[in-house]
Amino acid sequence: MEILFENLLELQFKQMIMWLIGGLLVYLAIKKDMEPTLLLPLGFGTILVNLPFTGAVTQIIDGVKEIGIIDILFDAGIANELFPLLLFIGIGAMIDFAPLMANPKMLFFGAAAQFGIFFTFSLAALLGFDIKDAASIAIIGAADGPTSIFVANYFNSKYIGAIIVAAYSYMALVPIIQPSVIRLITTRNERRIRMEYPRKTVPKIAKILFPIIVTVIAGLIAPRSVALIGFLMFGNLIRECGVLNSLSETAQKELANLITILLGITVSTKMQAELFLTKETILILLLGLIAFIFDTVGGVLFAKIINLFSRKKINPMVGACGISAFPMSARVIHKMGLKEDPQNFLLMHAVGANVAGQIASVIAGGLIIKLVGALL
Amino acid sequence: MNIDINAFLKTLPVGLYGMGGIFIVMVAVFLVVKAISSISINEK
Repeated sequence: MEILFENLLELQFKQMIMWLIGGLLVYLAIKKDMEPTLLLPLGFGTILVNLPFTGAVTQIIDGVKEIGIIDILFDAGIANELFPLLLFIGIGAMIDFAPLMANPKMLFFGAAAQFGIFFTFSLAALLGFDIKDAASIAIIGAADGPTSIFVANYFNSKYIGAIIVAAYSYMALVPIIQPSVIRLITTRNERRIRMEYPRKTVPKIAKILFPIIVTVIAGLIAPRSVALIGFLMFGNLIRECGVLNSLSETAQKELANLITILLGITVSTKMQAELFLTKETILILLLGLIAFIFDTVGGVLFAKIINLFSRKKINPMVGACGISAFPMSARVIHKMGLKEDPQNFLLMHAVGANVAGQIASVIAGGLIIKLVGALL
Repeated sequence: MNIDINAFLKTLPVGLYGMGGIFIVMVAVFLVVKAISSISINEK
């Protein structure tokens, strides 16, 4: 009889705390609809990997190494960066770059809103994090889950679990974080600025050329970003070419869904109590929030600076959409604009800046890998 | 956590080059999109 309960006696207090954290992630996913596609598998996986002598992760039991399925998945899909890259094909196939191509000025807001990444990088290094870990933490500011996984895994950061939880949680919290920051640094009059949208149609040839050209330019300047931006743009090319509709639909649905299912539960191997329950985790969650705040500040202040020199004023809230959290950020800013002035339709500008943020965040990921690599 | 000023100073060029690099890519993409637009985008 004792043999049935001996595992129960091995249960540690830390593991029970991780069950609560896993349960919280499942609750947030189901009840609060916070990034459920990732937080639910991650929450369940957190419980799974924190059972005593769980067979889901690799364990040494009685001197014998037993390989766990989640670690097999991690080695097959995360350690070699396969899953995030495949997911990028699906994401690329979902994005319509037409609002950005019709209004290419929005590209610069995508760039400005990456400020939080580099601010947080310096802050994390100041707080004593190793340079590689600081870069991995900073990339939470990319507001892009697959990029965060890609970069944190590239630097082999031991904090990858906390980084992913922070990245996806704050992406889900964009409707709370961004309006608060924007209200602090803009006046009501600035938030009421109306913007005319150029009524242009983007022809098919331009939509086809765009992903190819972006890949080449990004590859020439930030070669480490080629895998990320290349797969993103490959997905987009499948969407826009017009002859691969079936593949485009598969990339958007089946491929993206399959990878998402595996991604969350696979990453949970890094949610084991001894890796996650550290004081650094709390600091990482705080730094992730700072990254999102300063992304927003960067985008808004850049728009304000442009307004100093430009005749056509830009609503500074649009600058905040330069983060990669798509389409959440664009929707939030559109709603804020309507709240300030019911006739102020910012949606298309906001979407343009938001998709620019998707490109910029991937380039930021590539650049931080390259630049930090040169620093080491 | 120990405050590490030297590590902080080492990261500053990364921030500068990083932001600079993103803007360079965006300027290049902007110019190309403008060029494509001038050829092929029609105003409604």
